[in-house]
Amino acid sequence: MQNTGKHKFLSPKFANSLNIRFVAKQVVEGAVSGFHKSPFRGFNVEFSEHRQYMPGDEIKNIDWKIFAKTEKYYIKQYEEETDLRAYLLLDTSTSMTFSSPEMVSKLDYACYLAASLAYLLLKQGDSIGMVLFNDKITDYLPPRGTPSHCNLIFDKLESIKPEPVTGIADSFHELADRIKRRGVVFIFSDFYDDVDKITNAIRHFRHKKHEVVVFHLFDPIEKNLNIKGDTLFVDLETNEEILLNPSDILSIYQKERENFVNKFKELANEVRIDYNEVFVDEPYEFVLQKILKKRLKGRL
Amino acid sequence: MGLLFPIYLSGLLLITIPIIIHLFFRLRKEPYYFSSIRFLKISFQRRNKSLKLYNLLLLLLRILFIIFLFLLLSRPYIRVKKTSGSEAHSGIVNIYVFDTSFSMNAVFNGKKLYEHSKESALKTIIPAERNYIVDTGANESRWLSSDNAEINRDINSIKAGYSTLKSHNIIASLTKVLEDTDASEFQVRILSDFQKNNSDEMNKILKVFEKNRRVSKIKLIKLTGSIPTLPNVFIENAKIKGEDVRPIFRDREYELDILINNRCEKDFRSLPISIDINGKSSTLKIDLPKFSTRLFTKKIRFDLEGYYKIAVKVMIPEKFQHFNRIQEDDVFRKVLSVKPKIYALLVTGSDYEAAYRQESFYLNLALNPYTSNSIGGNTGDIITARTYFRRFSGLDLKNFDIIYFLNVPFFTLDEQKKIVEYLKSGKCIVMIPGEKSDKDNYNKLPFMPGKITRMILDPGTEGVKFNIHINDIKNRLFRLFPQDRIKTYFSELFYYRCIKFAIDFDKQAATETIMNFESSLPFMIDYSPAEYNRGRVVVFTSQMLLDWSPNFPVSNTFAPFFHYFTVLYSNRLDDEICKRKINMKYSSDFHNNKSNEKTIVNLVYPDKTKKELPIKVAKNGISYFETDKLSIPGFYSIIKIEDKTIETSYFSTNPDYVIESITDYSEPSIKKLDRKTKFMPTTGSEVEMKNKDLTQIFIFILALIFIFEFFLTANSYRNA
Repeated sequence: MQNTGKHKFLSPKFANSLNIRFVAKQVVEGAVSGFHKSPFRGFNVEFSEHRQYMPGDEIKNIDWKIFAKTEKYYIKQYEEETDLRAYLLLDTSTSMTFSSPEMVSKLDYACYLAASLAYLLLKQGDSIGMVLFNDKITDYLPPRGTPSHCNLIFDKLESIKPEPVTGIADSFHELADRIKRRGVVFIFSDFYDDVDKITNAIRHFRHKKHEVVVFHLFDPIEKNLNIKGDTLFVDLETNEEILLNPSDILSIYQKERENFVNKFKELANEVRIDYNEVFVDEPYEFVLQKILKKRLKGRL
Repeated sequence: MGLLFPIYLSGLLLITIPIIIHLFFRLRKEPYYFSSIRFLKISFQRRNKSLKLYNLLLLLLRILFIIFLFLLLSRPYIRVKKTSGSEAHSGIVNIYVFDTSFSMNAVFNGKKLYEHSKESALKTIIPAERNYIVDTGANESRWLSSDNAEINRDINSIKAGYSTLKSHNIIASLTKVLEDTDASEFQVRILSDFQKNNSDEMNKILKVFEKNRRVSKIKLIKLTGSIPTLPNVFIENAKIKGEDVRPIFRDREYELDILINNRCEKDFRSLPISIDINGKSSTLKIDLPKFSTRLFTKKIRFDLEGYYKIAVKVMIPEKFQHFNRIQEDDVFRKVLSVKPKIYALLVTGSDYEAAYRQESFYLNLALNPYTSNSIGGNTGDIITARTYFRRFSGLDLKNFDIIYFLNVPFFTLDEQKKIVEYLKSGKCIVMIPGEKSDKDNYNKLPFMPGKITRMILDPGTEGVKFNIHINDIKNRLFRLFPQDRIKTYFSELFYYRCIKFAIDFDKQAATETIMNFESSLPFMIDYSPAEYNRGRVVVFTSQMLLDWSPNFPVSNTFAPFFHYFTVLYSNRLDDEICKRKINMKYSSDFHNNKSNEKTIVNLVYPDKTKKELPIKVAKNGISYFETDKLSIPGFYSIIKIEDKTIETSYFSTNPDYVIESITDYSEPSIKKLDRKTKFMPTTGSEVEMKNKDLTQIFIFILALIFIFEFFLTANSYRNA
């Protein structure tokens, strides 16, 4: 599949340079044979393990080299690989539209990442679906593996309209219930909601045997509060105001933010999700390649 | 603490800048839209209290910084006392300022004050050091050599003159020395009696030192002694010689104070005065504006209708050197006239001249407690004349409102008749028989209210037996009058002033008080007021010396009562004394009659008769205003006339008192100076003053504030 270069969130140069594959770390249920581990064992692709010969097994599968060494019959087992059903979950709340000067917004950044991933997965023959959500699911594209589906996703990304929200956890629960087959869920969000609710929602995905890859998006200014003097802060979601000098509260603020991120990291360790804290000042290509390589390394 | 440049304090207005910033410039105009303020809110709630404290602390530090910065620029210093003696230091210049004004002629322990000051200086001068002396009277200043003999000669050449302290020339030379001399440190000693009338000038000199940072020590050495006065001379001489010891003129110039009770009808700028000395008469033309003020000045608008008392201080020029020089410690003063309110006659039985004068002096002193000072006076409301008892029958008694018979031995029949006639006219007599008085003769007097039965006590010895002390009187009066006022007046040890004071404040209460007071001290004074015909007779039948002041001789015991009875029984208490400020009908009249320069004063007697009175200076040196029958000694002060403004100045020889205001032209009120407000040291004390520069301390405080603020702000930035 060649990138046409027509899309806002995917540069042709980067699209053509995407030679690395995305692999699911856990098993996924696919309809066609592909790169990803299937829950079903087979003999066609990749060696998995040896087991002792049992009556009824085909003789052609006996590993004669082992027999020569041990004079015992062992059978080679192979893992079956299948295609991936991936879901791109994109937070479209207004808090995602925040950007520090001369930076892209978190939402745009998420779009870049999502577009690249979508292109990559479709290119390697996987199915990709997309969900736009705020406090509810606003748009749902079921996974497809056709090249034309990519254009559909790109069009959706370009037509996002952010809205203020009160909570995003409910959307996750709804989606977890809706997706029947095991797949990979990519979540792009700043997660400004009740942490417990969100972690429960992510657990819900894991409970449904989905692999979860989280892109926790931050603007650098959200970390270092690099704003001078007394400032009247206005919340993009709630329009609440507060007047303060950021330097006065910086240390406490950073601790609070760190605790917030740590809770996600703890959750990632606990339920084995791929958690990525991403700052929008990093080039998204670099971020994406780093994550893909990390996953590939983990796979090998 | 003092400030050398207080103008810099105006910079303190800059304090308003941090306050305004703190209060009003916190809000950024445009809101900053942020993804989520949840962590901001949590953080802010947790730091809110400490933030407020931090901001307040920051504000305080900035204000303190500004305050101390401008205090530092104002160059703060404090004056500290030091007790260390003189020490030799390299690079130190010692400056000795000798006050050689007239008052330094006062005597203490047989030596004049300026002699004491020279001795004191010679003790401290170290020839090896650089020493600079200033003679204020001669307006001279010079460096001392390192040779002992030359130092002694230079110091001994200093002598007090007759001038008052003038600071401007001294300041000029001192400033030059302080600026031009290469010295690390100046140590100043000022040797003076710190008379109040010199205090302004002395303060100006002191400021020259105080402002100079190189002046490390200022030592004020106060020398005190008795100011020579006529009564002191009398007393001292009487003690020494026990005979007639009047001041003797010697061959040098002297001052003449003239008081003229005057109706200001004409221009007195040129006042001719005729003086008759040793048979030679001379006329002085006195240029009034030349006479500067001394202790106190007050400008009064010229009122052509009123009566004014004008005193002229006359410096006798050198051409009158033929005057006998007065005794060295004396000041010769002459009172020409006063405005009389009550005329009193003192008939004394003493034929002994010193006692005679002494008694009349104290009578005057008692009768005019405010306007008289320690030199005595006859310038108040009550004018006294004196005469020997053998002569009083020759006088026209009706001119007098009250007559005192003091120590009169006896009365002849003619004299008795004259007194009876006098009493019939409603007047008052006060009789104070003495040791020499004939008790039987007194008992036979027709106007005697009772019989004298008691022995008349010898006051000098008997009084002490009754152990009556000034504290007894004080304690009694303290219970009756406001303490602060009583204390003020008692500190002078002039009891009679208290009585006068009491009468002035509350006549009725004072009368009762005095009655009670006397009844509680039965041995002090025993008097019997009675009426005879239409007149009044008061007889004192005992007297004693109170053990309270060696300067109060026997007859002075009666002084307060003299005044009291005079105002009480002269029948003028209500009519004249109380209204005197409004109705001055018994004033003398002055005419500057150019056609007859010798006629100076016209006295207007109560009966409207007028007498022309020439000015005379008696051969014996005691000056008084004299008619053929009256003699009025006294003293007063100076008035300067300029255009239509009269500037009066009052002279006081008591350095602890200064005349504060004039309620009338005749009676200045007297207030004791608050020593705390003046730098003047107490009698005989030596106070070493030093200007301690506080600049370094203030720099240190500023640095502390700066460091503290720096750490505070740095901590805040570190957090950021």
